[in-house]
Amino acid sequence: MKARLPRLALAGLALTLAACDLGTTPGSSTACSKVTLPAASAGGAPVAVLRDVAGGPVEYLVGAPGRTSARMPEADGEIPPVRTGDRLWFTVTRGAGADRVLEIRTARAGECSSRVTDGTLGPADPQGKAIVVGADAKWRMLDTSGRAIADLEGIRGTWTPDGYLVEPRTAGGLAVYDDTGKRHDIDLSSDSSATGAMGPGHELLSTPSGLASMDIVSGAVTTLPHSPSQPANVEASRDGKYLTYFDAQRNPQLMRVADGVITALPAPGPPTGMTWSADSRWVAVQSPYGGVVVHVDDLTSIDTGPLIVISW
Amino acid sequence: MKTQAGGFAAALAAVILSSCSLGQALGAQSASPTPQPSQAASPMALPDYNARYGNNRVGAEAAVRVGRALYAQQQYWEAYVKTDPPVLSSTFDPVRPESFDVGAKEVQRIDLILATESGPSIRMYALGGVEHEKRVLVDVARVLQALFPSASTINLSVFYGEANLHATATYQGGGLDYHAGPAR
Repeated sequence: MKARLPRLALAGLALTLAACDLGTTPGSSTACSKVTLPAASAGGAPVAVLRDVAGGPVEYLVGAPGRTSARMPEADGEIPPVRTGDRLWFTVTRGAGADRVLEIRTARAGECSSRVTDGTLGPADPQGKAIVVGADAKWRMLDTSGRAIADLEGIRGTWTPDGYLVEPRTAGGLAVYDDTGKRHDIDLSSDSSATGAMGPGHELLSTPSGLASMDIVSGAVTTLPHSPSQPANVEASRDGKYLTYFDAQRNPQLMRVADGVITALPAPGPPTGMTWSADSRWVAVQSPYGGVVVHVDDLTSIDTGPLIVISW
Repeated sequence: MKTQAGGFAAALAAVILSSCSLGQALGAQSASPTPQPSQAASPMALPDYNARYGNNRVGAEAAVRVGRALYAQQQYWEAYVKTDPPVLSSTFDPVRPESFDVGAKEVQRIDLILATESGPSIRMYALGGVEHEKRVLVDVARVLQALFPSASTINLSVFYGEANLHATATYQGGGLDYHAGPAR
């Protein structure tokens, strides 16, 4: 019985999925579960999609880290749900055996969920307007109703906070899509690679001379004033003011871009990943023994026990 | 709930066992278990069996706490907790963390397996010899005893790697009976 290790836990609101069984939504195969967003106290970590590392692979929770959470009864697919603003995207397993498919569904607070399409849930637009879905051996950008906006070249890409999808092109360079599917291409030096968004309208680049920020409209590249040594899994906060990364010993680190100040982040176990909150004020560290979330302004942390943040 | 974010920089963090057979070491069966009439319940038949951490959800949650306790000492160990009885009247509900205690108080005996392939962890554990190893195991046993107050016996097995049994120990009544395994 070999088990793979995961590669892999309060200003917010207490987002609660309350099962209400209001019948079947048109086009849906499951009973309605309303998403409610009760108000919560200010000053704490925002609501996140959570998972208990000791729980089953499709047991998902939603709540503010460090506070009471609620189950997501409808989400039962292996692909973790994604939260974008007040919208949740998740998958539901339909059928069995050779007929088994993953149905992608979405819901806003107070709404019953609705079917988007069948396929693999990919990255979601942080503004909640669009989603990337894999189906029929192709990645596509869809709107919330499941209408295709654009066909991607082959890689799912990453979203900027202001709703641009940046996809590395198979021939080199980047393809940039707005939320209507309009595309423009940017050339990129072959010794540089894009690693994700770095604030609105910008992409973080790894270059031979260190990390850099690229304007996704003009293509102008600006080398960051400070770059960490041998960083891995670099990810910028949504506002582009901070970076998280693993150092050469795989310790989780936080770097302030403006002055290069580096702070070691805590972890309750060997860290496997980090996730930024949408407001760029919190970062979650994940491990096989649960998680911790850190407030980047004062570096206080909340131990989330066995829970890890999987989407913020 | 808030603690100062300090930096725990451990070189062992990069070392993650790509697979573990802790459940197997406890007698868990893989894909097609052979029916055993004498067995009250095959681990695979347990409703909330967890191959990675424990033979039920309560055991799995306890294993996570053991793992955390050791990691706080700069040691990364895989932990697997098997409870006896294996089926408890109440499982753990992550929405109600206090539900852990309901099932936990029914546990009479615990088997804990610790395994690591992390060189720094093994060195840290063995530092100071057997007496230090015993202290580490007593600390771990106390973590479990606090979680399972009705457990009268806690058996511990320590593996270096997946199959190299380093030591076994039994914790009863506050005392530890330690035995070096074949690896010594």
